[in-house]
Amino acid sequence: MSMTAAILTIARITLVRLRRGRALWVGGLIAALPVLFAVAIRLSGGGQSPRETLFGLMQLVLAVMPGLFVASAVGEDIEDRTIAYLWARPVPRGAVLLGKWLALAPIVTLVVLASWSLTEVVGPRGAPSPASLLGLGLGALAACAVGGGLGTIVPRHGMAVSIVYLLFFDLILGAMPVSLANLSVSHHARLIGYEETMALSGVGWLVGLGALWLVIGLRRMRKLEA
Amino acid sequence: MTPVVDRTAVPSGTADSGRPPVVVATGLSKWYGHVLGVSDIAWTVRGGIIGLLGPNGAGKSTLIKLMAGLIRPSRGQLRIHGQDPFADRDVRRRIGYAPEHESAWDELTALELVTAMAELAGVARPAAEPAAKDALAQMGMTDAMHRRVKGFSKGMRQRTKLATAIAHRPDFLLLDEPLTGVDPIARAEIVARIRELAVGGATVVVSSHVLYEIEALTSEIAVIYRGQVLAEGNVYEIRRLIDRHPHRIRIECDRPRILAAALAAAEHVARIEITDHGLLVETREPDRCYDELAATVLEHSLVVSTLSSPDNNLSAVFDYLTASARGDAP
Repeated sequence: MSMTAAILTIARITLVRLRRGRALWVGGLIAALPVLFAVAIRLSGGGQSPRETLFGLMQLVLAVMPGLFVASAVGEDIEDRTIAYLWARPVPRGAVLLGKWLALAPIVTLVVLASWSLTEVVGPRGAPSPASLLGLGLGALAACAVGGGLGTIVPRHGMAVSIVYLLFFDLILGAMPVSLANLSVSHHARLIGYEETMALSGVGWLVGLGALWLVIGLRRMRKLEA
Repeated sequence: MTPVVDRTAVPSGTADSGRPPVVVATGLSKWYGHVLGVSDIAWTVRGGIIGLLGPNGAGKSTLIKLMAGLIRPSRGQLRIHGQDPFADRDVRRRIGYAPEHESAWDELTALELVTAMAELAGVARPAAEPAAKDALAQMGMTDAMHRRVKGFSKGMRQRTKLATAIAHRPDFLLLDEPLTGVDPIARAEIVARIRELAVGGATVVVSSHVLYEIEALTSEIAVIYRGQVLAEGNVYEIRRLIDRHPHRIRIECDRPRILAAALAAAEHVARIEITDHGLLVETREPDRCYDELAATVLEHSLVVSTLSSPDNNLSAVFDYLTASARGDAP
């Protein structure tokens, strides 16, 4: 079976499982928090929420969603040994990670962008800027690659480790000097999406970081045993 | 550990030496860190149904996972149809594997699961669903195929798992404890189906730690214990190899003491135990003992109601071999 065919089949199965599981509902609730916050501030007469606060909330959503969706999907298959069904077939091992990423990363990205768009509608700007959508969108795709990679490294606690990594370590990295900050997904998502600067280099870094984490995950997949 | 049976003297588990080997393992070992999975296994399988028999933790699942290409050997070589199952993906198209564990993608229906597995095994998408329906029907799961796996009983999960293993029509099946948790009716159906697959040309390796499960499927066995194949071949051939050790014969008759007295003098008889309804004789020369037994029965006109050898049962072979491996054999 070709890599492409295997990736597409695994992606399709992953979407069916996602549709029937709880992650989508939980993710939807988490993604609704920034919107609800913006609405609550507005209804309470407090005026419009500071954009920085709203973007900060979105970054928290961005840190949680890849763990909830991608890291858990990858980690559970390894930990529950259902991956044995796949690896006993002529499926390239990497197709498991790539198929799940292909199915789940766009979902996470869409949920994040929808959440941010609604938040901006009730927030200070009234509509999301293209730069913010680009920053958060690419940030979500890269963060999902981080989640996938971590899911292969620590399958048993993939979701928790992914959330902790993106919520703390990645944010701390982003506050470091530039050479280290460049390794932070949230740093680049913020530069592009909130500060709306360094778009091209930031896009390059996010694409590079996403690819790096996927390669880490693929290498790990080749070594794993069911 | 030294094998208790001279395996070079035992015909292959599938004695059809004209067929090319399906499995060839040489010096095959697998460790999980410091824990031994299998050790220095040399094994050839040419076809038919082969029962992989051993207690829990003996290394059956490790050997099956090695053959399924799920794990990489630590040492030695394993070839399935001449190819390395871990490195060569193409050979896995010919393998059907049903794991021991029950985990599956519970959110899917049985039909969705089996269809997906058929597709991933290389069946073209339009043909995958009919193939899955056929496999589920063979496992008696047609009525439940649109239900989600999540709500399945253990037996239904087993049957669904077996359907995933056969849907792509592999010619080499690896079934790890396939009858565990299955009710007697389903068990009979599954046994019949596995036999049909073998008659159709598939090579089937079935593991179990339950002796009567293997007996129901085949008399060709490989006994595995502490990571080593202790013996392989037809259970009766193995029995012959261990005939140098006492062979037990149970006789139930109307006057057991007369029979015991006649046999006690024979030098090949190691021990006689008189029970309520008969006696248990242990002999080192079974054929001679059977002859003398028949002569005594005729001479004294004894009425024999039961004559059996517990050692012809797999459990006796298994008990003997594993006891030998532990060093406490008689």
